[in-house]
Amino acid sequence: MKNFLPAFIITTVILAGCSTYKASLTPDDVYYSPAKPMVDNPVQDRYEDYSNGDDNYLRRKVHSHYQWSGIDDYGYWNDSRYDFGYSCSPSREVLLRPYYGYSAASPYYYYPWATWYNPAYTVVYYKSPKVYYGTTAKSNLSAYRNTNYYNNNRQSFGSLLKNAFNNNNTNNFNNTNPVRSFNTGTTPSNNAGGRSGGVNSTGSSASSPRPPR
Amino acid sequence: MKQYFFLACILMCVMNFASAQQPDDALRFAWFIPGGTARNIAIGGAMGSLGGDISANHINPAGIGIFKTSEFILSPGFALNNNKINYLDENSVLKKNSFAYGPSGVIFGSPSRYKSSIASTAFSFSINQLASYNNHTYYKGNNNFSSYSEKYLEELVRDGASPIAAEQNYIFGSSLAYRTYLVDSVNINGQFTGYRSLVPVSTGVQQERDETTKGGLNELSFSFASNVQDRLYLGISLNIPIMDYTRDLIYTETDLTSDPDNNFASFKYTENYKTGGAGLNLKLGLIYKTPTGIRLGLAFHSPTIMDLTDKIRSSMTTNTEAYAGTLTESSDNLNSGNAGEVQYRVVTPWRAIGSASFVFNQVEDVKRQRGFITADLEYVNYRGTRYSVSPDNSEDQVGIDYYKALNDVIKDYYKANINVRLGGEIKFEPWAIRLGGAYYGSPYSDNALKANRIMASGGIGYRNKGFFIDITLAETFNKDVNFPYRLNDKANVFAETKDNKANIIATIGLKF
Repeated sequence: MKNFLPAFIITTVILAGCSTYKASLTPDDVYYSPAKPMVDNPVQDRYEDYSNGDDNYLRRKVHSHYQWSGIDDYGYWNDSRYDFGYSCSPSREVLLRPYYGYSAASPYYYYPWATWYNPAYTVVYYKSPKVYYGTTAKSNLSAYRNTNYYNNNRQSFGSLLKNAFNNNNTNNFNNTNPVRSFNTGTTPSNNAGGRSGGVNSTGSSASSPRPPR
Repeated sequence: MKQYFFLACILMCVMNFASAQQPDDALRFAWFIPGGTARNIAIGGAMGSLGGDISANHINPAGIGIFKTSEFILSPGFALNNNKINYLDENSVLKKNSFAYGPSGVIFGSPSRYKSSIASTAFSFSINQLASYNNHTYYKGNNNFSSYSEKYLEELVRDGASPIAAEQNYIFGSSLAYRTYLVDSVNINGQFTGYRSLVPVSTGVQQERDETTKGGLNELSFSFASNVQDRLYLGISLNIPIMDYTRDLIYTETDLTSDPDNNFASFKYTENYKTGGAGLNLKLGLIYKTPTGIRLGLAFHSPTIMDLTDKIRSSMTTNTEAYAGTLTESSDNLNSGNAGEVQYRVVTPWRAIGSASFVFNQVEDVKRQRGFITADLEYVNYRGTRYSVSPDNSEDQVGIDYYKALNDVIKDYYKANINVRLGGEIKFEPWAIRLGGAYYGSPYSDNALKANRIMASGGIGYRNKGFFIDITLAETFNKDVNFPYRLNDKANVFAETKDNKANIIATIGLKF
């Protein structure tokens, strides 16, 4: 909090000094967002009506000769010494003939946008190693279906009734220590619970048996 | 050398134990009062039909379309949690303060130069803390009805676990209890019949639960909106929610008797649990503005698809006196020092928001602007959260079965509800005064579980010389329940929690 207040005040002062609305009332966009008055669309240049690719080319050349000379190099675009094929990224071939020679092996075929520097490619991507679950009765989940509650501070009549009836269950609650017994016919399994085979089979280095008593 | 390399590969792979996701976890993605700018929170978060605030990115992106100007916004804040918890008729109080923040980012409004049906467009990006998990809760109570250790008994017996399985296959829970003799096998006449707890429940134990949570659900938003003839505003935002959650849990049971010969003195279970990951969602919205000042808004938030990773470490220390003495075991010890890790996918519930507001004097002259009243109704289907295996484990049938069972429980345990947000502002240039409130109903389908979130807020704003500053105080009353453990075959005990959270939020902005 001590650091927060000075930082907040400094930021406020800096921002106040940067605004373009310093000399005028500050608009509140919730109510009204001002804008410069719109004007009618200007009359189109009639020259545009019959312009074509050659006209545009000439305009660009006249406007900036050196800017466009790079892609206007006849020697470069027609010299096979500069052609490295599709394996070169970005390939000159792709720029010249975008639909020529595509194949399943081409990276451009499946994901033309999937260059490594494109963040949109891996926004949500996780490499997930194998997760193992063993045989489990999911008692942690089924317990959520038990809507019988015991609270000293708030015992509803319905809850008390449920308690009274639900105490006759199949498990023996020892007066001293709680006990749960297997149902008749249950054969205890070594594969119950976590992954089959337990921690030993996963390469754990410290799964010593529990100490004797 | 190859052998060492192979061993290293195996050790890297053993980290991937399943730490089961619980239905309680589903609420973290859905049941919260989302963060907003100071102005937004001051009016109860009811911004759905107003627009003109960067919070619109996260509520109704059409609201960005109101902008023909541009602005830069920062929204730092501070939260003071005051937790009052009643457990088994015993009250506990604990406070926790933390940093928070609301939407911060930039809006670029672009009015059309020429007359056309599109009067303006706007683009914005912002980051917002939708939910803050920073908190510290503690409660205790005396219990002579049930014990935390019984959930281990249920798990082992219902799974049909042999002693070998009990010792090795539940290294984040039951195996720790079994290895420290909190639970032990029962043999009658040489026949293995089940498991028992060493906790003397009938004479009573003191139960204590101490939980520290950190992190938040943060959302990065990119919005685009267009303004059709200053009447209809259409917006869309692409959002990237980022989950960062850490929970440190200490659970203790202590014998209430002074009997040194009853084979139990205490046990302590500690757990460090982390969830991290990111996702994607879309928000669509529209606002219709009439010349009379009435504004109507509709917004739809798509379900968020999130890919998450959970990591868990746990340990247990049990003192069974003469039975086995004091023993400690940890998952780290059983898992080569590695945390248990599981990756999965969550799809959070969709939301729909209907809004209306009335703006007094929506005119250009800021001195004649008088204020507004606004209201939002938000529908959230809390039972709509769905878990699934991560795409890389799509063939994992056991995992698929687990998440199907989890989703079935979520459908039964939660319900849909409607949240209400109201607010208003009175303006006398360059100042503004705001008041608001919000009510978020219970997500639980069982009426016995009382829960809601109520927020009352107020704030002031100052706007002059190209910048603005808003300050808000919001008091949130969070009422909820907390189960320290859950049992299948006994009545469950839960704590009633009341977290009164004071939020101080400031928003500073620069018009450019």
